[in-house]
Amino acid sequence: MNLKAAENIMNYFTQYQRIVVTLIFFLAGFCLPLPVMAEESPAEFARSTGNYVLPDVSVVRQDGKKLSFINELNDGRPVILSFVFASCSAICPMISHTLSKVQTRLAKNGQKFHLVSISIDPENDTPAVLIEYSKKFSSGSQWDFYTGTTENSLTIQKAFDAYRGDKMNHSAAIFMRAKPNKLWLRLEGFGSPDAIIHEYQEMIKP
Amino acid sequence: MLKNSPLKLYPPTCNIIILGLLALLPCSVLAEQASSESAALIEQGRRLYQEGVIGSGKELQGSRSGKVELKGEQAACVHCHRHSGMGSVEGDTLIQPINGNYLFDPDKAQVANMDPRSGKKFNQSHPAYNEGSLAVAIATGINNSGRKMQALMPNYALDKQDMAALTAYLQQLSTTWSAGVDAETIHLATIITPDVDANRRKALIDTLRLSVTQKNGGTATASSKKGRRHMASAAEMVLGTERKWDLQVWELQGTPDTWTAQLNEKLKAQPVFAILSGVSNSTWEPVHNFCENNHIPCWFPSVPVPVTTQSFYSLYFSRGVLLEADVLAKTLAETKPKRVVQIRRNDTAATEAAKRLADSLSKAGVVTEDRIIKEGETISAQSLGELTADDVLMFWLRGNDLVELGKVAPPSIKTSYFSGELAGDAMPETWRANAHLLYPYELPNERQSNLTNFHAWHKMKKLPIVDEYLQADAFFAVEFLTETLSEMLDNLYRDYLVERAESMLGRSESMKSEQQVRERQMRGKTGAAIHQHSSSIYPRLGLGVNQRFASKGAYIVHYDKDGKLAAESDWIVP
Repeated sequence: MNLKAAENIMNYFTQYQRIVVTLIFFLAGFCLPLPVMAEESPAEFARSTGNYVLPDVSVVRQDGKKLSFINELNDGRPVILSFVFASCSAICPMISHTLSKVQTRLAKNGQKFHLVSISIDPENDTPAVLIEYSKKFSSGSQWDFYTGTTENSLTIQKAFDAYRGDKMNHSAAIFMRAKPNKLWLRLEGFGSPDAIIHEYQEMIKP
Repeated sequence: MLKNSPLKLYPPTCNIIILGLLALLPCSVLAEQASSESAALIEQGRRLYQEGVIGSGKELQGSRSGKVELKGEQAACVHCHRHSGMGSVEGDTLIQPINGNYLFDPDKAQVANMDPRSGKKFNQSHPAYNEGSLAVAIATGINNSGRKMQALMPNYALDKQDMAALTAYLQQLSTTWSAGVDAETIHLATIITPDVDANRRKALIDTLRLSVTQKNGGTATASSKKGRRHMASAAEMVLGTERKWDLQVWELQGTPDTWTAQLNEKLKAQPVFAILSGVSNSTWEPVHNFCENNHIPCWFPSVPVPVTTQSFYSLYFSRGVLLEADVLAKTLAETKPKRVVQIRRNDTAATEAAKRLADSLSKAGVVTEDRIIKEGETISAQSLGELTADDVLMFWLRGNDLVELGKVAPPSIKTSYFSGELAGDAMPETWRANAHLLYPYELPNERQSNLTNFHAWHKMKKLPIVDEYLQADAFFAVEFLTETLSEMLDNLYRDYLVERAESMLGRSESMKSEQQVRERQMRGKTGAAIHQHSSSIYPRLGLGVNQRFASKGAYIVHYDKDGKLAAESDWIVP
């Protein structure tokens, strides 16, 4: 096993997990075939919290309505927010796919929540394009997609520390917040629906 | 296959001789049979890869963490690995190439994998795959170095036949340079339609030819050591993948229905890797179709009416007059005037634009009327008769017609719009006071800093600016192609070129804009706010998968009291 490869893999783990994984590496090297690695489920995302200040900008919802971004997020429901763009080939479909499952499961429990997907390619993602996109992921009544001007989209991305210079440079992150004035939880990486729902349920506990 | 071959009738030593003889027979039954069998297998693999359909005709199924999550088209490899198989880069996520060279040829895997977009995240080298190890990787998510592939990669349970088909497809995918490329040269062509006047024709050809000459002067190749390595990247320098460019100028003649034959003939005489820039005043459809049919990237031509049906190989700056029509329709749908009178010639650009505007406005309940200036006639006061003060006028006119319009007194109409795409800088003085222009470009004052290199280069080459729009487009097309080809190293496949443009345009533009801001700051000038200014005549350019129009909006502008163009609307994206 190449040292650099090992180092890359290590970056995905927390310190505690690193010790465990290092042990597994040793075992794997000496007596076990490597595929055992596959059965270990590594941390799927990096977890952090942030006090992001919502910018006072307007956004355009998939139905074409121009709305205040702050009002859309502060209607009392817990929010699960992501950044997407319709012509994204790899990361966004996976995030949207995961959120689609999260949506179905939470809705089944009768829970109230607001899934918010914000376009980082707003000039291409017109309301009509967003509706097409949302159909692919069977979005229900608690999931909205937003576009607007490029400037406003950039402002929102910067507010969430998610601006990476260009849409092709975006990373996989999901943000959630239990209610206004609470901290945001930031999950960076590809979380499974189960893991995201677990984080969500923990977060909304009173 | 061998079972049916005549070879088993002879002793083994003879077989070699017979095989050799057979190889010399271009139409041997054996070869034909083999190639039709393998062609069928490759086609089955292509359907799996591109469409997500397996051999049985059923949908391909992909699973992540043990559950079927993706089906059919959504599960197809092409989504992430793209048509060329060269993969993609999104943020921190590197989608590996899976073309033939990368998977099966250890000598060529490295170059397939060198992607400046991924920075230092080059993949670890790996032993060559075979059908068996590829099957394991696809089924289990463990690659042939024993490492688990990233979470994005689904697992697929393919049967032996589907696996053989996929392997056959991947083995031939992006393994040899596309037509128009040899070890030392990339052949390109630009296309000019007959309706373009001599001045613009010359301006385009000069800008393109001089930049190609300059590029070649600085390029060393094996047989021509003069020049230097580009050193655009360490990889390019080490691998020596630079090539000279050969630019053909294809000037079309006659009516559009004869262009296809002319283009096919020119292509036969000299295959080209891509069409660089190009210009038309009217239709571009035959050229667009030529590019699609021959799988040739059509790299940012300057045309007023691009083809808007979804296609792969044609990349445009904007939707031209169709974009203008949509911007105006969006604006007028709010004010709802009683009637819109469109004054135009019967040429393709004006006709298409007027039709699009009329269609959109009729949906908004606004009546339109077309007034067409006949061939051989000039615009007269008569064309502007029977108007009421509430009418809105839309002039789809250019050059000479605008000169003639200048000789007519403007009627007392509140609102007159003009097409910026068609009018260029030819707006008659007497009409400017009350004119509104649809303007799909950055405002003249704003764009000068973006066009610094463009102006400096033209000055250095002593080329006059005849048509800033056209020349800036051509300059950008050359600049962006240079950058993109240099980063593609030896992976010179046409599909890959298009995919690079899709994913790189926005990023390269925003990097340039940040650099420009830094430079301005270093010179003590303001400009701290980083907007995504492009280095082109447009406010920003960007593409994405299946996006083919890089600039997506327009301003509505008027002439202020100093005679300068000023925006009266935001950047409108219809």
